Amino acid sequence: MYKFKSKATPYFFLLPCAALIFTILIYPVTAGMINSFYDENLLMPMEPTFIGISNYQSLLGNPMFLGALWRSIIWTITIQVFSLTIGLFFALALNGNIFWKKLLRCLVLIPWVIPNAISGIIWRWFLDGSYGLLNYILRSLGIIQHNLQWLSTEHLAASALVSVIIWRSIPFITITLLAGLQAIPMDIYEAAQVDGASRLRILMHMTLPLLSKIIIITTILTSIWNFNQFEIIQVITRGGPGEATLTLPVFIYRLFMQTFQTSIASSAAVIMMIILTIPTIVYVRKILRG
Amino acid sequence: MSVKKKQKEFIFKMLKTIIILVVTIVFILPFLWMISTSFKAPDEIFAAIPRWLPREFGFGNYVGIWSRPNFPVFIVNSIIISVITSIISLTVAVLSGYSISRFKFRGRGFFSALLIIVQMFPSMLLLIPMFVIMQRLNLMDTHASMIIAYTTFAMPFCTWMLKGYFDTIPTSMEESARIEGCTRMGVLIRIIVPLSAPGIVTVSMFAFVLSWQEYLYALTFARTEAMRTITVGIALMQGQHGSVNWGEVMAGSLIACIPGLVLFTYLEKYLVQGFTMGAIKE
Repeated sequence: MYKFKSKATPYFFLLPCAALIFTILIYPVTAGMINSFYDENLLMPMEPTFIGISNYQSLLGNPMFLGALWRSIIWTITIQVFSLTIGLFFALALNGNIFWKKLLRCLVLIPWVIPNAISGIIWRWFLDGSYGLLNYILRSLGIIQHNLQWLSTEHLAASALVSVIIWRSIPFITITLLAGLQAIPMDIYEAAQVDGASRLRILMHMTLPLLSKIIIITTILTSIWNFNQFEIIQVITRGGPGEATLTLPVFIYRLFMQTFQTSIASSAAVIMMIILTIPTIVYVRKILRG
Repeated sequence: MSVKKKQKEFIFKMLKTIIILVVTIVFILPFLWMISTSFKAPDEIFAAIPRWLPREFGFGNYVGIWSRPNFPVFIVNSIIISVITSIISLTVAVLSGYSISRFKFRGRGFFSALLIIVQMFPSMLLLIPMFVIMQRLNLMDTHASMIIAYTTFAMPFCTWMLKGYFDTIPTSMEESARIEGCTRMGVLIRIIVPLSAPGIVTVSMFAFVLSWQEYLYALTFARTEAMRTITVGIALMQGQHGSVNWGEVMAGSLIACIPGLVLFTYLEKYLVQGFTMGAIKE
């Protein structure tokens, strides 16, 4: 694309945006990072004092924090594996020779286009221990004898929440993989079919390698989102029962809203950002290169 | 023979479609269950053996939720906050998106990277200092606090989307306008903005929906019922304990889903074809 040459104009146009990014993004985030080395508590009227890395030390010795960190990592990986597999299935299915493609695409998109908080609400009702539809279906199919309390039993709540987040992630993955599939020229498939390659071989040796770039980008992006996922968990279980669904963002929110210790909550958020640094850099480089 | 083959192909295609349709319906079952519940009478909702569809489609839950004193307030709050956020983000983004799309300047790559990186910030990292700032500025429990918070994600997103849109508009008209003596700002307002009207409408709809759907900042910054937005308002109606009027909650949920559903159904084709990855915020 042709680029105009001018010294001052581009900066002039960028000024409002840059000013806003600085005042409402860079400044607060920097303030938060600096604050993580202090001992500020909003409930205490005294001046915060510099305490170095004490907040980080106490977090790293806090089993609840370590549990939440570990849970976040395991959840993110599990969610990614399942949503990528199912998303790939949907993308291949919707790219196949079928009727009503547009309608089906719209239906698959639904979990992604409704608000996170609302997904949480409708799943709470769907999983309800007394009147939930899931219990009824499983009872009718003879899989369970009695209603399960999905959200108040520890191991069930964790699996339920992971499933809801998988459900929420699938549409985005489907739609990006579908865009990737549609960019693959048809004639290479025809050539492969003439050569007598089986469908599975075509999928494994042609389609997936051609999709690899888009799979990597989508995986980084959805993993970052899911690692940050707060709204669904907060609406459905608020991290409970006990700590069964307490992931890092929910832990930070709980810590902050219960104790108003801004500093230690900021330290936990900084640790979160550090974990996300590498995937973010990889993602930005991939996007900017084209 | 060929007719038979065609018939066979048709049946095969139909069969595949039906299988995929069934899988998809199972996939969105919780959503369909919300719709079904929202039209049911209370005795049907809490039946031992649930019915898939309501006996008769009644609007009782919709009337019920609308006549709650706070529900219209939630909607109005959400609209005010989302509209103002969109207007601010869009005004700023037209300028910055144009700049990144059209000019070559030092720091262009850096600025583009910055726009993507800030969209990846964990919201928790921003929330805590924002909370402190809002308290100091006495902005807690105001529309302004939420508008400021939403601009942090809507503005970078809009800039990136509009940049992509401006890239598709040829520069020839701008060049001739420049030769005629039009200023750079004049070019932007008289030529670029009218030409990109469809893009600007789409992007502002996105900004609206992103703000409409937000939950974390709204939950934290709105301290009273009168300031709550729709997502938070409904989520708190089904609070942790006590009996929940699921019929009304589901009716409210469906209303909250409408902007997103409308926008994405309208944009569905565009989403699949021209996917600008850098511009997608969850």
